[in-house]
Amino acid sequence: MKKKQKNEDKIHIKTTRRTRKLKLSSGAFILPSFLGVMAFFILPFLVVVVYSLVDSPITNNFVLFENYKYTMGNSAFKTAVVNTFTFSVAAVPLAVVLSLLLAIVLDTKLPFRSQFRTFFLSPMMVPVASIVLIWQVLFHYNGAVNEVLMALGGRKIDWIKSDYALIVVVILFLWKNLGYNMIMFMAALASIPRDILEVARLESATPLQTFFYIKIRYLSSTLLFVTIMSLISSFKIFREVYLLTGDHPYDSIYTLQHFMNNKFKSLDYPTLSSAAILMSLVMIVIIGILFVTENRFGKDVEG
Amino acid sequence: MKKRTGLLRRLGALAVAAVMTLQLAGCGEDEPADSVSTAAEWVWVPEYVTVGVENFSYYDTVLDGSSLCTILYDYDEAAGTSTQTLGRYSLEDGSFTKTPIQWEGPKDGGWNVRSYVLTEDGGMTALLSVTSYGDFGGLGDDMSADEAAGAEDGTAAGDSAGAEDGTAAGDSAGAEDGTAVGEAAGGENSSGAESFITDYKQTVYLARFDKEGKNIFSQDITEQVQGDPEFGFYVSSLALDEKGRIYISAESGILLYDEEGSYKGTVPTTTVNAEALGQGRDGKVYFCGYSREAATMSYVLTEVDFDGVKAGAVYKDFPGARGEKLTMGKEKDFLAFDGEAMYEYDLASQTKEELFRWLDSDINGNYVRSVGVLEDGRVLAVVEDWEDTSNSGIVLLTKTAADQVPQKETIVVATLSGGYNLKALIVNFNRNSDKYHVTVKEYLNTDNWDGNDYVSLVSDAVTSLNNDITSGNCPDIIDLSGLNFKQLASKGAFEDLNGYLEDSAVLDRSQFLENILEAYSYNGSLISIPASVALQTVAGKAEDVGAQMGWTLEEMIAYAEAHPDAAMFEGATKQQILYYLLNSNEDAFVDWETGKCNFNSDEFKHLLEFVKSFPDEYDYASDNTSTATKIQKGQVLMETVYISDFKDIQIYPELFGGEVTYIGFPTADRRSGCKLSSSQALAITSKSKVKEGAWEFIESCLLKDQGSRFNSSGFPVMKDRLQALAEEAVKVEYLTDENGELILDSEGNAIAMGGSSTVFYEDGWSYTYRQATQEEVDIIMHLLEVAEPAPDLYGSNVSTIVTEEAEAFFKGQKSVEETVSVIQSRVELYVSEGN
Repeated sequence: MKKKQKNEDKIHIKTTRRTRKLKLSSGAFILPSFLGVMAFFILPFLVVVVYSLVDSPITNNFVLFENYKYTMGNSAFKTAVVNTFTFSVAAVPLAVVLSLLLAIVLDTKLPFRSQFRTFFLSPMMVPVASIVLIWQVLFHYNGAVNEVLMALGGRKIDWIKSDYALIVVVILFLWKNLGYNMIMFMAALASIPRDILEVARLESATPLQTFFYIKIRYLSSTLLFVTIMSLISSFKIFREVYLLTGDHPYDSIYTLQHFMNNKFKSLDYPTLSSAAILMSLVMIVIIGILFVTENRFGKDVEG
Repeated sequence: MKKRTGLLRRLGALAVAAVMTLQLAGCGEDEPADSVSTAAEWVWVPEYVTVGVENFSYYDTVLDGSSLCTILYDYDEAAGTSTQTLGRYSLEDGSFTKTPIQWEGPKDGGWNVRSYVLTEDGGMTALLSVTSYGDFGGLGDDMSADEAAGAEDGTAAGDSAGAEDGTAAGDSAGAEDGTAVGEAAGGENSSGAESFITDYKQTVYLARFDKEGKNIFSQDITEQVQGDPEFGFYVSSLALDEKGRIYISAESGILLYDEEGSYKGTVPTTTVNAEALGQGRDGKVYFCGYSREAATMSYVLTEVDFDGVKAGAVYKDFPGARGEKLTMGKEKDFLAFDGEAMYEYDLASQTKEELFRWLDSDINGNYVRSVGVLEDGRVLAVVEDWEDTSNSGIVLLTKTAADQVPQKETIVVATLSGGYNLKALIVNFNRNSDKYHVTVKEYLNTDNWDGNDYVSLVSDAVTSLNNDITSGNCPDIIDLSGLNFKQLASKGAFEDLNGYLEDSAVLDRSQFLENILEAYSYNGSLISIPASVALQTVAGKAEDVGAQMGWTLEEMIAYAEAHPDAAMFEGATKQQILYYLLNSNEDAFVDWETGKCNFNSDEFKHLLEFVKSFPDEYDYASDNTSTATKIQKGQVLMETVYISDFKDIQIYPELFGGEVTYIGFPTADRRSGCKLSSSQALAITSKSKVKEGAWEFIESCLLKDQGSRFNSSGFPVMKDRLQALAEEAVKVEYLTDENGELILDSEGNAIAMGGSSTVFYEDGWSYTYRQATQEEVDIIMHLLEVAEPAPDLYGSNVSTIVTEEAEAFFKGQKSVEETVSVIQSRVELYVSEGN
């Protein structure tokens, strides 16, 4: 008994020592990456938080939440928030739904399926400067779209400097991102167990029922991923919009990134930082909601 | 076995982890070349050599072993002849020898040594420029052809005003660049001076002299160096290779001659503007200049293949070519320098190595004329300050370990592009300060600039400066020229100079023009005290615009519309008019307090429609009538006036044929509309760690007597200096004889002393400047009181947006309603951001 106890103790000590060793060596391996994440993500974020609490990056006088108050009361910021929200609400669902539809269509045995796939993926390879050039050629006041309109008896529209600008930007966003989302959905569709679909078919389920009760459930994690990625991509559209329209575009496409970029140029780091923090808080909430939804909806199909 | 495998695996994993960690250490960038480093291992200590020789010229001084050689000019007034001598100053014992250059040139003209190179036997090969004159009249001076040809600065009788659109009389054939007389007074461009000089010609000789100065050979090579016959010839320098063969840089290319002077051919320089020529350590001759084929403006070095009579290999990234000569290096192939630093260039690797920066050795790089290296490794620099000759001289620089030299605290002055003007002040301060060393950092980097989109270049420079201000690399002093200093001041970037001024032992606030100090204050804090200011305003005929200064946009447009047959400004285009109308008039359309804009108002629409009536471009080529004549005939209504001297405004009553009102640019509330621009407006940053030293430097800049320095034109901000300048401006002294009696001219009038200057216009209209009157001085003093700082140098965001959007309207693509709607939207966004 005593020997057994001793052996057990030995094993426990060994296990503890081994566990500690394991933890130490794991820590050592993670350390370089962790240092990188600290240096390029966590510390800069903390710096942003500090900047949002001081009056200027030069004098660094602590002013608590004055910058937040100022930012939230700033009319340009409010315009940017409304525009960013509108764009995201319009563009992200469209990107998800359309790409899902495309994936379903291309999942069937269509002729020239791979050519279509390539066609939809190709915008991802186009450099930003070329995208901007293409869009200018199309939607400039003297561009191709207006030429077609004039030929059809209509009148010219200043697409980029009017309320139509948002439509142009949404089209640009969809054009750029549909391909990638479509591929994600196609991969997810291919991973749905065939036997379950077979059973559904045998049980006389309609295609719609199969889609909503089986496929969507299995696609839930991909849906979450694609939605989050589309949301992130919706902010990245600033790059093309900035190249098309400059620092101060028409107000319908003036987004949070414009506001922050201009604040950076005018050395107003505190306002920039407070806007960034506010934006990230909203993003955390949205993504949190998405995670909860996915968790509930797709729980039973996850492994 | 298992244990060993496990051990190996662990070691391998550790190695990978170490590599990943070390990669993080690679983050960050190398210190840029122009950044200030206080941790230099070596310094180059200057030693100033005084050459106590009268008329010693630093212009074409060359180093020959341990001697400095130069060409001296002596003029014999009695004989009316000049002689040239090769002077040789020994750096070892300070002795000076002169060797007359004996040349029997044409008797009907004067000659001078245009360029020369010393030969191994102590002799000289030279280009001689000969000018032969016919009869000439002029202003009664008994100037001989020798004087006119031999004068270094090339002025003929009478100085010229050199007004911006008038050809000056008095440029002569003896001018440094060797331009033919066709461009000088008496040529087709200067009808008013036709009587001065006529019928002259210029020739160029290639000559060789022995060490006693005796001429070995000389031959006329004018035809070979001739470029475009209409413009005369251009020849800059010559060089010898190791075999003694001669190379001459001319407009037509690099001319080749053998040791005996026989012409062998010309190497065309189609891709490079050959600016300098010289022998490398390999004994071959190279020329350098800007490459016309390069995407960015950079120097290249090209080998001259004498035997093949063609350009040889091309070497990139050559640092610079000043003084028209390339200098052989000691360790590497060439020594090279620009206004910033001294370099050595290696042909094999096509790289330059910076030896030192001029300012670090208390030398103004702008005035370095030539360099050389002595046998003992010391670098020699010949400095020629043509504005203050007391700063000219020879400097010997010795490489010394930094820890052997007394350390000083470094003060960094940041400027967009004003380093050139600051250097003289910095060198003066550094030489007199035991505690501080000032250096300059320029942010406008044109190294890889392709010559387009200057506005983006400036924007990048400003962003870079802003980044430095907010980071740990903040400069100590900022030159505010071209910057929106109020934006930076609102962020607390600057020190309040009021305290420094109060505590100063040598300066007092009462010494300065109060309105200028107010203009450079922000929220009660004094940000900067500029050393001098200049004015810009608009002048019109008083009879038409009224006697009162200041008007609104509507009034200006109404005035122009009331004279539909006249142009508002000479050569005015849409862009210019839009600039003039918006300049200082943004307040009419933007309420910066509330953020409201009214670009959709009828007033702004009217403005756009008015601007639309102007041309896109102005065809100067087909316009033979001068601005002056047009104004006099009422064909041009207004003139923009730039005032930096008390004499500047006297011409305008002549132009307008009567009283003139300096009515200014239009403003919303009829303010003066007179713009103030400043030079050397320095501000101390709040993050500086050497504020006391920074203030000492600013004090020294303000106290320094600028004298007549070319680059500090403008009105001093110090009251006593301004007053002295005003008194000097109206003082007239007359010529007197040895008995003190006035000398009278043919009409019995006393002759005013001092040069008067004349501006000539291409259609014959001319004006001769005189001393200013008290009334004119009073007008300018009043303008100085009411002027306001000019807006951002490169246009505000508001004017940029207006200009961008208005373009479609001007082209007829959009209606005015559509245009103003977009402008309103965009500008309102900009304003509501809080700018």
